[in-house]
Amino acid sequence: MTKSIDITMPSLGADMTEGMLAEWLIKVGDKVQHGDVIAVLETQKGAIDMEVYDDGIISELLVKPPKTVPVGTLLGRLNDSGLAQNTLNETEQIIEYKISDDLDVRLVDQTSVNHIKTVINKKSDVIVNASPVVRKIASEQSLDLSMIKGSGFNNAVVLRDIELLIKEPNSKQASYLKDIKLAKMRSAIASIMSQSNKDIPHFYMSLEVSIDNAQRWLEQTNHDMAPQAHIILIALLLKAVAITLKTYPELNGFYLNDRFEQAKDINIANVISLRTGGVVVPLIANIDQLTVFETMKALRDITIRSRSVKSGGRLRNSELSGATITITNMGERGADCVFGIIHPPQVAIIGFGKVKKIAQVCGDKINIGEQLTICLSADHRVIDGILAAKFLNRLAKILQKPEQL
Amino acid sequence: MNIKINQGGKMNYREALRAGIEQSLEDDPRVFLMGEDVGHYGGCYGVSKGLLERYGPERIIDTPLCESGFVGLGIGAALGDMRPIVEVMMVNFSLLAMDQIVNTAATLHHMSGGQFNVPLVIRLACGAGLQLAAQHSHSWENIYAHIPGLKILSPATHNDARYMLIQALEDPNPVLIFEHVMLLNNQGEVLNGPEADMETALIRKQGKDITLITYGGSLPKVLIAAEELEALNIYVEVVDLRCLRPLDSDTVIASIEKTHRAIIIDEGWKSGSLAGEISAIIMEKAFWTLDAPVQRICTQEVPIPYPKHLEQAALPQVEQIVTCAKCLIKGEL
Amino acid sequence: MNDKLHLDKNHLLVKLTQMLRIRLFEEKCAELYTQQKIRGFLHLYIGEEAIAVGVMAALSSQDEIVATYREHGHALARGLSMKSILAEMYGRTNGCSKGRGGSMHLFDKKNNFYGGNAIVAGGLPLAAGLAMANKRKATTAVTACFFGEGAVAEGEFHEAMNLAVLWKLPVLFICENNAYAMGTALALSESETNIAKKAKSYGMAAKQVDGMNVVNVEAAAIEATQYIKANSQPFFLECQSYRFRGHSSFDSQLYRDKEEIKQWQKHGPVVQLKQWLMQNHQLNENEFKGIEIQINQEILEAITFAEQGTLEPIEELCKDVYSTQLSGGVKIDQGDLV
Repeated sequence: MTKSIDITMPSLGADMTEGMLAEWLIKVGDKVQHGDVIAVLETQKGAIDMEVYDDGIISELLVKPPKTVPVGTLLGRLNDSGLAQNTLNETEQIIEYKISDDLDVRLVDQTSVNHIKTVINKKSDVIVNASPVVRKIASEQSLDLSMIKGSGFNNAVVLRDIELLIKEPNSKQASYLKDIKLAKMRSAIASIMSQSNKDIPHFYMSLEVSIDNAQRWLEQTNHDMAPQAHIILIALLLKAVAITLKTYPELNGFYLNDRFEQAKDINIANVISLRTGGVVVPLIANIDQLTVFETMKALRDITIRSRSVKSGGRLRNSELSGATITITNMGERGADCVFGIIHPPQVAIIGFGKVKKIAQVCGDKINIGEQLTICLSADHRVIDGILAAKFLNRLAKILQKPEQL
Repeated sequence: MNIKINQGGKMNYREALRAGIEQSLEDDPRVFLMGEDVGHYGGCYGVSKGLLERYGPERIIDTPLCESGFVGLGIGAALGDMRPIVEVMMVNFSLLAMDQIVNTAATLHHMSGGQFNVPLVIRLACGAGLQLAAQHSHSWENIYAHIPGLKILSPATHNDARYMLIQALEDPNPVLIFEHVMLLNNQGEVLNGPEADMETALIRKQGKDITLITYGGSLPKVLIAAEELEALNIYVEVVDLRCLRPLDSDTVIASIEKTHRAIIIDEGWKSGSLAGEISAIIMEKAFWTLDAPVQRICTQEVPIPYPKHLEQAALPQVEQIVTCAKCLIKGEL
Repeated sequence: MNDKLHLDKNHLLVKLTQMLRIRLFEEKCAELYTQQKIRGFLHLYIGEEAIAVGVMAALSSQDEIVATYREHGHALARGLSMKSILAEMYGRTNGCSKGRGGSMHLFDKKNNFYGGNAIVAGGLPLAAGLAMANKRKATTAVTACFFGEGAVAEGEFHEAMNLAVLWKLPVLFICENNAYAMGTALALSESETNIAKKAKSYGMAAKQVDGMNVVNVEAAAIEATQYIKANSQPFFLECQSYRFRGHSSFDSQLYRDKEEIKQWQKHGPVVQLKQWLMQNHQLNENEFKGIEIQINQEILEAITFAEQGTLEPIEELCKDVYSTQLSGGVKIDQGDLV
């Protein structure tokens, strides 16, 4: 028995209120499988692959790209042939980060640009009065109408208000309206971080860990492998964190509606810096079930795709939402310690410092060993000091036996 | 056998109508004019003056006061291969004949599975402005335009008054022609032939800012408003619908795609008006080209009052059209 | 019995057959209606057959007929095929109105049968108009207009009477007075129940005749048509009759007595003629049965024809709203447009 399943504009990030459907990669009648990429979306974070979570046949495509629509808008439908359901789907839907209602996104007034005014970015949508013909033109040219002062009935934006833009679509004014989005992204990120800092009572704890065994294991393992397949330390660290979380699931989950909800899966997000500036934080799902080799492969893959947006590589929406905990590995860049700000609704963020050579006393000898500092920022509403300490110690212990990972 | 009478020239609307009737009588022996006081009286509004003397009582027939009877009879005569022009003195009296018009004329072709058709023309005087009060001032084009099987014409210009009757007689279906009383005395230009087939709307004035859509007796007011607006640098396009069923929505939509704004001027009462129908069509076919809501200027919801100032206050006026247009451009109401 | 007609056995047998044909067909329609083969309204002519049969005998093929919603009998008597009539009631494309009209709207151009009208008295002005056209074309055709006594209350009746006499139109008005306009007895709706008298008040020649007697009706109709042609004046024939069934299939007949119906049925047109023929040794029971068998066979064939008829495809819904044929009047060439 088939049933019709809606394909909607996904929420790909806590701060995403709308997305731009840039391109359909399938057409009506195509057979799709869970995990197939069916569209390309332009979001505040850049171009993202949109995947489908069901098996079936595309029955209708209702929105014609390019079109910006609010999250949740029905984009199309498929006929589910009743096969395997993607459990990840459910997990993603749990996460719905709400931006505080009174959050303002303000823009600096520029005298060279007319008809700009400040808007309040409401949770659901910016309500803009605009005549039908203006809406049509705006969607064709990706204009942000909330930036334009309307002079029609009910202060609606009418043709006369976008006259210049229609006549000169490549003008500075027009591109300013399009670039507004990028500026918004930055300020949106900024706002999440400050909100997190305000809402979550962070406390911090660190532990120095010897990684001699880990490094040795890596050397041995990598010896027989081609360089492009070499495992690097962070993959071990990720796996180790995943295993440790199984013992201490209180750090793996979401704080929502005034209570902690443990996550079913262990999906660890990695902070990846972009060469163009800024970061993306894609996750690797179910790391506890992956081998170290698989973890490395996944890490390599998302790193490449994170950094090569321009060359066509893209991240999937399932990789950008649903992380149960985040890791930030700034070590290479030379900090001993990095205490991150927790990404809500998660409750912890683990930072790994740089690998340092230290002198170790072993009997009467002095050996040179390697260590790094694990830094934990935790939500004190959910995690107390003792638990945090236990977690760190366990993690350190696990890292002494890399062959068991 | 195409003797064209009064081929072109300046004349009043009444004379244009009469010329059309005369040409029909000359060209086809099956044609005759039938109605109350069309013969000896010369027509309630003088349209058929002199025709009885020229064409005789077989072709110009005075009927008793029995609208249903003589409209039904006209249907029968048309069925029998005649080409009667039935004149219902005023649309106001047509209610008495509505059964025949709606239940027989409009339906015969369909009910008989296409076997019979009714090539009947009914002419009706209509409209307000002569202080004839509530029972003598109706604009019911919309009621008849509602009915499948009928064709409804509204000649607003002298040329249409002259030639639409002939086009209607050529049509094998029942055609109703509405002649607005306020047009009768106006002077105008008649050309050598019709400007278009009877079902086409025409652009009477080109413009780029707003489309003004109208028909019949309102056209002169709309054209005056257009002149006044031009002086204010607002350039409106005027669409004369000419045929109200079937409606030439293509011409209307094409204009709106150009101007993005519309005002419909309709002398019927606003509720259930033709303006409402046209507005819905615009919504359906041109929504994404609209820059403002479609406006309607219609008669106020009151039976037409007798005193002049009240009658005029009830009807659409030039000033309203101008004000509405200015508001559309400015964006205020 | 006979009245200025040259009667012979054959002629009477033909009349009997024609009436019986209508009778059996109508009864079958009643049955088919209960089986939902025929839908909407069904108005049966049972009891009034003598009028249609009698009048049609006086008409020629160039004459025209305008009738009412109770017109199956008139259609059959006029010459529309039973098949096309039944198929029309089945709503099939092989019906006489292509299935678009149904029971109340039977039309047939080649038989000059102008329907089939659901508006009481709606056909009278139409008939007057057809007659006017005939007069202008200087043909000798007569327009026969059938209507019930209920139509007499309508304004259109009076308007048509007036116009027909005033303009000397060749119309034969046949009022089928069956005493009840739907559920209203004549005495309850008319101040003057003598309908022929009303016609006379317009200056129209009028006659009353026993509508149950086909011979009388035929004689009167012949006289009437002769009058019309000779005088270029309309004629009014009031046929006094009775319908044995309700107004339509939905009628529970609360407005009249069952006894009354029985009395009229004893003097029904078919029964009367059959008895007369048998008493005069022009017909025996076997022969009668033979006629019945033939008619029933025709009815069965009509049912098969109707059942096999197709339903018009929905895509053609809006067909035949407007006629596209050119009427050959004053022509306007595209080239004439300025």
